[in-house]
Amino acid sequence: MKFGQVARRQGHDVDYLFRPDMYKIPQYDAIFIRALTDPLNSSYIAARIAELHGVRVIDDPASIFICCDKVNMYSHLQGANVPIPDTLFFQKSDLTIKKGAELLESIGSPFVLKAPNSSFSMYVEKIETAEAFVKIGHRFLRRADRIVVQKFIRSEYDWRVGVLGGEPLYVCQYTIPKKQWKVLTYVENGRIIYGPVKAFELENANPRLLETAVRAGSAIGDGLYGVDLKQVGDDFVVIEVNDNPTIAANEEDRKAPLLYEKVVRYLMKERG
Amino acid sequence: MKNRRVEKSSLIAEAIRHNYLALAEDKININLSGKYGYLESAYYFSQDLENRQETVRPTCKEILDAYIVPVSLEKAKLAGIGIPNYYLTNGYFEPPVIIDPINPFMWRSSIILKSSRKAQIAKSLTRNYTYAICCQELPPLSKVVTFHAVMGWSVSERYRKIAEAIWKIFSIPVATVRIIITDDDGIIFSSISDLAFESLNMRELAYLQERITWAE
Ligand SMILES: Nc1ncnc2c1ncn2[C@@H]1O[C@H](COP(=O)(O)OP(=O)(O)OP(=O)(O)O)[C@@H](O)[C@H]1O
Repeated sequence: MKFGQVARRQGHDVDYLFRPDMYKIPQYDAIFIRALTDPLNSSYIAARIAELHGVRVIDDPASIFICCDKVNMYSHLQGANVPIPDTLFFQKSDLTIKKGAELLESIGSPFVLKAPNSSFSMYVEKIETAEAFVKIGHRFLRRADRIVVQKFIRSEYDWRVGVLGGEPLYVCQYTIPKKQWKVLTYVENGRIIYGPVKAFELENANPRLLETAVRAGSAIGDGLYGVDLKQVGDDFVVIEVNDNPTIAANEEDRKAPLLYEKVVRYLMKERG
Repeated sequence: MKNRRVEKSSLIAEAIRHNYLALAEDKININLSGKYGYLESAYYFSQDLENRQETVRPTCKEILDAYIVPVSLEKAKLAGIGIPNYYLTNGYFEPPVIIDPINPFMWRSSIILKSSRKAQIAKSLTRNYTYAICCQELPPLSKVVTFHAVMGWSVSERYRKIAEAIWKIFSIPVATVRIIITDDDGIIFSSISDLAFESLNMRELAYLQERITWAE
């Protein structure tokens, strides 16, 4: 892994830890988690054990439990006045045809319905009828006691800005495949369709894009985030803040050669 | 007897009317639901208060600290509470152990005393070796016991000291606490889980009534 190579080049020792090694966490200076994060997975245990023992960690526990729950994530963004599409939260008693019809009027048709703990776009659906609101709402409520309703924002791509410790780290565009509306789409027989990733130099990115992304990251914490945004006219709205963002060789890092160094320096508190 | 039942149901109705939200002596909000599972109503209830910058016990982070077994063990240990030896594994373990699954789909724990069906148990509790399990070693001749803890108090005098410590460390006002009683009668902490407010008994409800006022 590139992070390991870079950290060694900077003079650090690097070990890879797996689940049964968690008891060793207190012996380290810093932990960098690369795994599916969720408060109910072992990655959260690693993060919280690190924090309890004063070991610096990406992702820190709060970033995980805020970002993994879209209700909490959007509440933080709203609280910090970060621009997001109109967003409302509902519970079981709200799932009525009447409410669905009202929403199609007020927030617009179609709107987007999300389960709070969706990832890989699996529990994010476009809603065009009141019946679909009730039916899909019930399905999503099996996963959590709240659901998210959001205004639909049309676009051809999502911007993804990597943010680390309150500063932009990399920028790219995730293209939405033709005839789809999500970057990742599951189709029959479990196949996943996704669009290409196009990287940009930070210097050439729209300053408003970067500023909005940094504000979104800061609304969550001081760690490493992948902020997804859509452009609306000259402005940008935040669609999601992800903890544990994907950093793939030749994609996110393509125009950000210092990405790995910066993450290692952050972990070792060597930033100045 | 009949009167007590009426009294109990009216106390519970009152709690529901207040969304289980009460104020303690120190005027801090207390979420008394007792069922604080991640992304369940009571979890969101605490979250709403936190996001409105109000103080509440428990916070979302406190809930996760208490309900995620290895985190709760680590936190208890750092606070000086006795805990069993424990480890996380993808499948291999040695009985006798208490096993808690670490995955979004399973909560129920198992106590495994003998080795005979070890392989099948490991396979099923890790969902085919996909998820981790947390194993707590059971000391020889020990017993696993659970009790109700309400704001640091238990009906049983024997558990009051640990109930109080757990309330201080974890801030979970209404909880089922699992402990291990060793052969020399020592008590070690093992886990915290749901205790629905509705299943509190009269003495526990009466104790709470004295400690709180319902929030408006
Ligand atoms: N309000 C919206 N309007 C239009 N498209 C949206 C909206 N919200 C989400 N999408 C699209 O749906 C996809 C998934 O959304 P989101 O990121 O919220 O869910 P997710 O399950 O966390 O997905 P992922 O893990 O892929 O980020 C993205 O491609 C995003 O562009």
